[in-house]
Amino acid sequence: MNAPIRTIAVVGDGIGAWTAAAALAVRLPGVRVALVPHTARHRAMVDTVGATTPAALPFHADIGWDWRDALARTGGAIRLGTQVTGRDDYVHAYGAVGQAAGARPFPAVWAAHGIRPFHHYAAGARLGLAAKAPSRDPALADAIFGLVLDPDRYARAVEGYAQHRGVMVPAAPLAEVARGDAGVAALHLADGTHLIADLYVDATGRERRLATPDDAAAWEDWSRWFPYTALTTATAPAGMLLPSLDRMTIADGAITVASHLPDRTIHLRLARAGATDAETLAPGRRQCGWSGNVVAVGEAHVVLPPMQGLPFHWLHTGIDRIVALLPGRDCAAVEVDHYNRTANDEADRLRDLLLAHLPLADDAPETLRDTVVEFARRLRWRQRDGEGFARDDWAQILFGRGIRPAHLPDGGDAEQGRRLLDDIDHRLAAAVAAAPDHRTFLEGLTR
Amino acid sequence: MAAEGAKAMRVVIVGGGTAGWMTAAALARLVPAAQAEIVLVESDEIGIVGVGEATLPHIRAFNTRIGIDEADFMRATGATFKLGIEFRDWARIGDSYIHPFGVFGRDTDGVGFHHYLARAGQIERLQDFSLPVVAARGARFAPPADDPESLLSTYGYAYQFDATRYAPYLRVRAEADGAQRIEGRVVAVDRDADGGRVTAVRLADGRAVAGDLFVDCSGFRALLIGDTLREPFEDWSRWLPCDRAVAVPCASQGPLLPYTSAVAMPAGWRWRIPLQHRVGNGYVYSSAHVDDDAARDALLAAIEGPALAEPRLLRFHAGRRPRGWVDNVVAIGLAGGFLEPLESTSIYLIQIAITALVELFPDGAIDPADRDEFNRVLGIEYDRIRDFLILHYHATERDDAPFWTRMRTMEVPDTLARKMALFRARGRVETYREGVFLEPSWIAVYLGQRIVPEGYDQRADAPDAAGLARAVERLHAATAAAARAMPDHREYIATIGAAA
Repeated sequence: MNAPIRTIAVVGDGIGAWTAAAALAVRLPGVRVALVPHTARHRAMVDTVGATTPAALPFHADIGWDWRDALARTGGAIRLGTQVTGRDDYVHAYGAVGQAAGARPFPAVWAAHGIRPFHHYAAGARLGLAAKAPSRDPALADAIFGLVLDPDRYARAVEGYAQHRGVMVPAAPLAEVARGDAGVAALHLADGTHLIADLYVDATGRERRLATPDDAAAWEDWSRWFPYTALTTATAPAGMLLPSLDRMTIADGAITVASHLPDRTIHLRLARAGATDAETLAPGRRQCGWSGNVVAVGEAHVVLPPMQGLPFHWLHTGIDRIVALLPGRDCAAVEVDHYNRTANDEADRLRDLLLAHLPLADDAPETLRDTVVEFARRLRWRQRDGEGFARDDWAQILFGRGIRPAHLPDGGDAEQGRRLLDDIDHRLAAAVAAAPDHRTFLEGLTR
Repeated sequence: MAAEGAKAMRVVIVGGGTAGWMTAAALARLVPAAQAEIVLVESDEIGIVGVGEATLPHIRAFNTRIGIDEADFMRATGATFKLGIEFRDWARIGDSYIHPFGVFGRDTDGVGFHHYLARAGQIERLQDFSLPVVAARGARFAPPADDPESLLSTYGYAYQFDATRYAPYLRVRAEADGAQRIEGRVVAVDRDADGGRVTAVRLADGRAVAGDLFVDCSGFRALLIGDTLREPFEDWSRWLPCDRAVAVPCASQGPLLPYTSAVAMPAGWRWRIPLQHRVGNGYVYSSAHVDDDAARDALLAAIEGPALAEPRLLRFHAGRRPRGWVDNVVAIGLAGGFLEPLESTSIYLIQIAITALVELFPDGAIDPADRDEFNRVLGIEYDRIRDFLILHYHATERDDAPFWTRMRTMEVPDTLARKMALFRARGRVETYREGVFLEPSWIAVYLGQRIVPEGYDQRADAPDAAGLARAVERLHAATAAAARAMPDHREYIATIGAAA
């Protein structure tokens, strides 16, 4: 039998590297994890803006670090979704929207009888528009949220947590990568020592330090569909009211994103044409995240723009996937191929979700085209392999973009439909009125 | 919702077997009358094939949607409950396992129970950790519970019923919901001037039945989709060479079992489906490996009680039409494709086609995009079931008959080969979002067919060995106790007033 993996070396030094090291050390019994420092050439998106999706909550639970504690220690906030303005005007909040009328799905009821926007029936959107946070009211049970981590403070905290959970750090940083038949043969460090592991995790971001030239070259560039690649970042002091939604403006020339921390707001601008002080951030993915005894996490595998918490989402789900699909020490092709297939499926679905915010391009990926066309025809939504979001995430974005079904599905009796919509509206209004504002909610976490 | 002023579409269903009446009952109930007028043409001279006596749990959702009361349905069709399918003699002669409608053990910390059992070196005991398996072996049945903490929430169930009675039962409902039945044998098909869409079917007595949308439920004859529209048939017999079945009912002996059996035979396999009033039997075989008389004799020798009818012979080919919906003709049931009933998928495939048709029902003109979507949905289902069926034949150690040697050594589709290799490596299952048969089904059959994983998920090493062993034994005892606490299957049927 194929021997199990007993040692893992993570290379990198940002949040991605430390998060991967902590998770692997905690979640893989009998495995020793070392983090070999390597200062990345580019600052990763997760080190720039701390917006996560709801996936961050179970991720933290799985590594034994309660998210409330993480927020309290590092001064973060929550995000219920994103308020989108500019070309369109809508909210995408996480969680289910409305409620089905028997066998009739809510989007069909809304499309037939709704007058207010679709997100008006989403608990998270209603809370977010009031800068509030969920209470225990059952009417708000569908409102789930991600976190907004303070990148600087969280980086130090996760580093400390990883070491607390047994991640070892050699005395010197990476100097040279020695290659062998299986991928990496050894890591030579700056003090002349070297380190050998069963598995190497490339957490060096866009530099992809451990990738072979062939692997690094097998790059699928998504910027032909997403041409907003000139990134600039700015910080502003927080206002009195702390928003619980990101704000994103989509215009022809640029997309701007504001992520709200308790003490400051991080503003990002993604422009079509590069200003002189802009950094280039071209989205895309490597063909093989796992090759031989090297697996890439975060931006070393897939680069996503800082919208909707996607960079953190990919980091968290990618680490989960390594844990769940860890092969034996020989990294057998059948297992690695399976990892790459599922990873790429997911990456491509995230790409599709990202592109769904923009008008459908003539040369759009076929899977995105099918998804949008089926939705626009009959409100059908199919959960494809790798899909990490739910029907109502897509519905909020596509309805928000102004897409309406050509063939309206049976929305049922008009009066019953309107009554259902009114009921939901009233219930949400009452629950939101009684819910705590975002700052009060955060203060409650530390008590 | 019909477009303003659009008139109702006239739907003509050709054929009144299980597929035809399921379609009629569902369309009459679920498509508003303003949108569709339902007509079914059938001839009393043509019999029902009725191979699909055993079902999957999905049938319950279908029955519920068209407003069928369970006990009433069971009385009318002599139905029994079904917790799974037993496979006997498949990997080796003497083997027996059940593919249950439920999960195995308890997953812990996101790691499948079978990994923990593999770590404990006891993966061959997996069957003992499935409540539906243990209950089925003991001829017991109780309905599942909702409480996720209860072992009774770990399974679903289906029915075994008399398919020749299901169609008439649905007919009453379909007619009550407004479907119109026309007695007559179709002898010709009219198409519009350019040889495209079907405009009417002509009956032996000269009448023409005109329509906007035709549903071909004519079975293997494929009167419209095949004979008229000439949609080709993709033949899968290189992987699934069984092309005939001989079927015979017999009187039942012993306890009433809540499961269907599929017993491997020298040139195929034999089904045993226990109903309230009889047992359905059949031998599905490859005519290249056994002749009809020998197959018939082998079946008659194997059945447990006196035959209640003359054996009937059925001929078929495994495969499907690439497009089930062509122009204004939708094929549902055997006209669209055939997969042997090894995993009870015949009625499931009818149901999936009906659900897709209801969801994509034209409002006015037929949108080509609706056809494409229908064909895509059905294509995925057929392909995934195909791989699952091939697995049963291919993953075997049997070399006692030419048929089994052929199946063991044949080349299988790449999609299946890699699934098997992945499970063999570390007990992992390639899962998918669309298509029937979830992870527990694949695990049941991989292990039952003796594909034993060489490794397991490393996370299963987390608990200490003694603690794991205790937890395993506790779960084993709890499963056995929960099964023992269930009523006898036959008694339970009587208790709920479902006895015929």
